[in-house]
Amino acid sequence: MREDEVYVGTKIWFSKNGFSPLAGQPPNGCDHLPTIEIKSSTNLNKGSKGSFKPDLVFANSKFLILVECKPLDDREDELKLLEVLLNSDRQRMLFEELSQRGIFKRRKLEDSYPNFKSLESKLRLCLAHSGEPRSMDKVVTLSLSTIKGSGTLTQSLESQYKLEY
Amino acid sequence: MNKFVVYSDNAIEATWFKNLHPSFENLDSKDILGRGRNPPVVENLIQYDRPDIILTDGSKALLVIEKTREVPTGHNVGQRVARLVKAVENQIPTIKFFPFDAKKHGAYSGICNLNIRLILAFEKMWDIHKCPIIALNWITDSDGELIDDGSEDDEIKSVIKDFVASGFNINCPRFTSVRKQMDLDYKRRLAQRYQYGDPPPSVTFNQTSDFLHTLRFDVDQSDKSSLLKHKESLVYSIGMTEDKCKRQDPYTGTQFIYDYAYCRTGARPADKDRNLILNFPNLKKSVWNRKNPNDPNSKSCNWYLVANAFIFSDGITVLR
Repeated sequence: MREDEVYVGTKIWFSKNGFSPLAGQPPNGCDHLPTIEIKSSTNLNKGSKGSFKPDLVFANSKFLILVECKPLDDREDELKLLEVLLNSDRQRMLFEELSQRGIFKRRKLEDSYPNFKSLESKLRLCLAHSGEPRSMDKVVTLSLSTIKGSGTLTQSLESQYKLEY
Repeated sequence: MNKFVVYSDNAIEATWFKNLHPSFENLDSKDILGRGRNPPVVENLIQYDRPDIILTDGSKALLVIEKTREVPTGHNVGQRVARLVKAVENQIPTIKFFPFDAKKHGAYSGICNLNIRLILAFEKMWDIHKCPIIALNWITDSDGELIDDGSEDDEIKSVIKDFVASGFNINCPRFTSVRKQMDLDYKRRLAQRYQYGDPPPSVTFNQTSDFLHTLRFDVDQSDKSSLLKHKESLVYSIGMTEDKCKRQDPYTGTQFIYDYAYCRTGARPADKDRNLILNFPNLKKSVWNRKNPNDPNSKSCNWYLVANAFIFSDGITVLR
């Protein structure tokens, strides 16, 4: 599958499984979702140097998931996601971006995410692609077989990063 | 609807389009490929640029749609216009779906407003080509954030429903009612920002003979004669520098806006009541010719579509 097809299939899979799409950065073209930018803590001024725009962000009351989409497994995407998980400044930027844009409110999730602390424990990471899944410590894999959202989830090895649905 | 096909730039927009009408749900979808690799009906419509969506019925195009999250404000208004012009020239009803007013994020965040010269140009395009080209608003909430719960598509769904029910009739009455709404909206916005009733500072209206006298190089008599056929000229000054002049956006789209809004009188680019002159004060003619040739396999050919002449720092090229 191409990256845009993985993007569409991932949206459908997460929506079917009870997650609301919060944000998106399609590989090309235009989606209905806003794009969010998680700034680097060393570059808070104008410009995008060091910033990270997740391909997709989903949430329900229990989890907030950052997703990177690629046709096949991509280790660099795993590192990009881990940088957010392991850096509380970046998580704070993520929370502020979602809050300031009123995204939690529009999705009726403001009660589940009233402050930054509430996001920390709910953050999950996902690589979505149409290749073979790879077991990772802190990242789950969504392996898609169709653009219509057929796919299977491979959980992370570390239990505290698993995604229940 | 088995013979219908939706051509799109990517799966994201094709999926969105298929959700706009129940009968589109199971349409075949195909990618718009590079130039020379599409069926003639698509190839014809991507001559200037690639629209997001082309709905076809066999060898006939029925509808072209452009969707964007960006407010066409200021000079950016020209982006994406060329692709829509081509559709209207071919008598294909065309919809541009975008936010009229929305919040821009970043260091200079604030509400951006539609540059209504786009609406003026759409009106003239419709009038000249006798073909609907409509602007539909992507609605926002009270903070100027784009609505994204699905209800943002309600109006475009309703328009498409009527268009489908009319048998894809170019004279579908719904288009006419949207046209009236666009006219009212234009007038309301003009009353709030009267300066948009005139062109921006980069555009001047000149007596053609006076303008030719201001040039600091000789102009052939035949070129002068061509331009003097029109008493007036609109001069659009483009400040590109030589190291950054191999580009089109947003200028080639903007030239269409100025051409239709202020020059054109008929369907052919030659049908004007004043010249459209593109002025490049920072460029030498030789640099321009090297970087922006009239090559049909490159988007640089869009520069040559409607202007009467290019003015450079050291010369002139008269096109029509």
